[in-house]
Amino acid sequence: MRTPPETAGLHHLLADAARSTPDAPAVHLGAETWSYDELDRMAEQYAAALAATGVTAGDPVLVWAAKSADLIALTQAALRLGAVYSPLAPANPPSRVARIAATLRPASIVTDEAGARAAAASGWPAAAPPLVTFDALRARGAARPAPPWHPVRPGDPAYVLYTSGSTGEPKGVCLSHHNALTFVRWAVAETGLCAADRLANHAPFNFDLSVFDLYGAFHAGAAVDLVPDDLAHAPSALVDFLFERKITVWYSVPSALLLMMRLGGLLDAGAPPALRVCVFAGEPFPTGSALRLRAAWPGVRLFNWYGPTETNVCAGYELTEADDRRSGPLPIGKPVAGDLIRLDRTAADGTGEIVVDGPTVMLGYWGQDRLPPGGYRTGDLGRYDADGNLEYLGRKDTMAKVRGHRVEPGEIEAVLSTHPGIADVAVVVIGTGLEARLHAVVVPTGSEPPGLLALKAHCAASLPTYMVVDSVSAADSLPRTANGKTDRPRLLATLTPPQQKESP
Amino acid sequence: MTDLDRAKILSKLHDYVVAELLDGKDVEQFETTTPLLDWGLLNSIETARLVAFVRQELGVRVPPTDMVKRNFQNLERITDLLLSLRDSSA
Repeated sequence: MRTPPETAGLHHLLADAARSTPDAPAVHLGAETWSYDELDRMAEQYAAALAATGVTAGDPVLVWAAKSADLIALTQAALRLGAVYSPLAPANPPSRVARIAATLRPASIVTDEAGARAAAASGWPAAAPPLVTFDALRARGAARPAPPWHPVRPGDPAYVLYTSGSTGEPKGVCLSHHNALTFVRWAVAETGLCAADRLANHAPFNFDLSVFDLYGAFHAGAAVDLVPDDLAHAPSALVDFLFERKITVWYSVPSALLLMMRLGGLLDAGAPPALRVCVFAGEPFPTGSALRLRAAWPGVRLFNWYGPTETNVCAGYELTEADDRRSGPLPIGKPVAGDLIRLDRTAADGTGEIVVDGPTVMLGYWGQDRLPPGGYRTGDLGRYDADGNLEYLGRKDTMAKVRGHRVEPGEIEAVLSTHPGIADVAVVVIGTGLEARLHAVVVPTGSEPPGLLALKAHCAASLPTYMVVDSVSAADSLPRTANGKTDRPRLLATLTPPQQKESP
Repeated sequence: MTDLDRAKILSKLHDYVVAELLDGKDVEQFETTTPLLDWGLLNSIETARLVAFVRQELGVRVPPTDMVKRNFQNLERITDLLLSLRDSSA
């Protein structure tokens, strides 16, 4: 192995581990395991292959694929060339991939066999860059030497994570090597990660939670065990995964844990023997459920982390016995990783918008100007509790979390408004937690609104699965505020919440 | 378990989805190949409820290892799964 340049790039974490513990397991997926040395060699092969297709420093590379060691190796290959990777989960339909590609303008779009089939079946737009499969790409690089590493600077962009955009266009959150490394170093120290750890990777790679799973593992020389995309609908299989694969560190949205508790029997078998750390982030964890988890797992450290994709994790809170009597919301804690948090335009009760500034905050949105000085305005409302811990109180705007996924109703409305049977539409979230549902109120062009199946089909053609509407109702018009916007509180008041169905 | 043929399973599953997931609407448009996962008709909770229904009404127990996406794409795939489980337990 060649000695990489001195500059601190995110991709050095894997290479450093490959040099110091080449035979240690790096990635597990199902029955397969890849050692650090194997993963490092794959990254070198993909670097040669990407270079052969013309990818150079600064180029974006889009990867639309299910989780795999190849995907991870490809992202590391891109970084070694100084390129910028952007991962997209299979939940994205081809048309959304093409829409994202139109703004990212990738030098290459890499996919797996399933992605290639889905794109072919739906008619991949001729204007979009062609797709290349992992196999085809590797063939391009066969027998070529890996190119020298590009000397990246800490402020260079490393990856772009696409998230729902309120105007209808997905937004590409662009993070630098320094942004990510600062977060990873803090997170590794906070959780005490070591080479003996086995981290579960539950989140899709386009969710920032995966950054900790992958790079935290590489930093510690630990192993990351990829939860297959296929298991997302099987709570009891997820529980089996946690126990049987001897996971020591679990990180997911609360929705996943709630589902495992309610339908997978998570709390019935006591604490998973190997588990020592459980982290949740991305949405509020109902206090009662978090405390049940604490009671069932007395030896497991529980962390509530906070931060939109734009900031990485910027605040954190570890639950202690002091929480056992808590009745209010779980705090999101204090700023971490050198970040500064301030509350802007606080009301009389101390509630204000959470503004984050510091080393983990993104460079900006891809294709737009860099984030101006003054920090990132999250749109989240917060307040300090008596102990000086930050509490999350909700949103300033309409962005919502639906079963752990970040959803802008505006992006769904933009898609639905292109349906010929729809004159006007508003999408609202009804219910909370696992019962949260996306509901469309439709003003039809004709006498009858399109049916639910027709709207689902229309959504599914352009949006990720978690943004497909769950129910629909018709209205003659939408209520408006004085300045002409949809009056969502009034609209919500007209809708009856879904009755809670019997638990299976 | 007696005479659990394909048509009978499909019919039971069809009636379940129409009643429980579609509120009895869109019956004409709903087919046995309608995507259940891609269109968000089945999420984790609804999948678990469907599996409970299958256990009670059809007497087939779906093990956790079979609760994977490829088996729940549409009613035809679910029926394939249930028939294979019935055959292996017979």
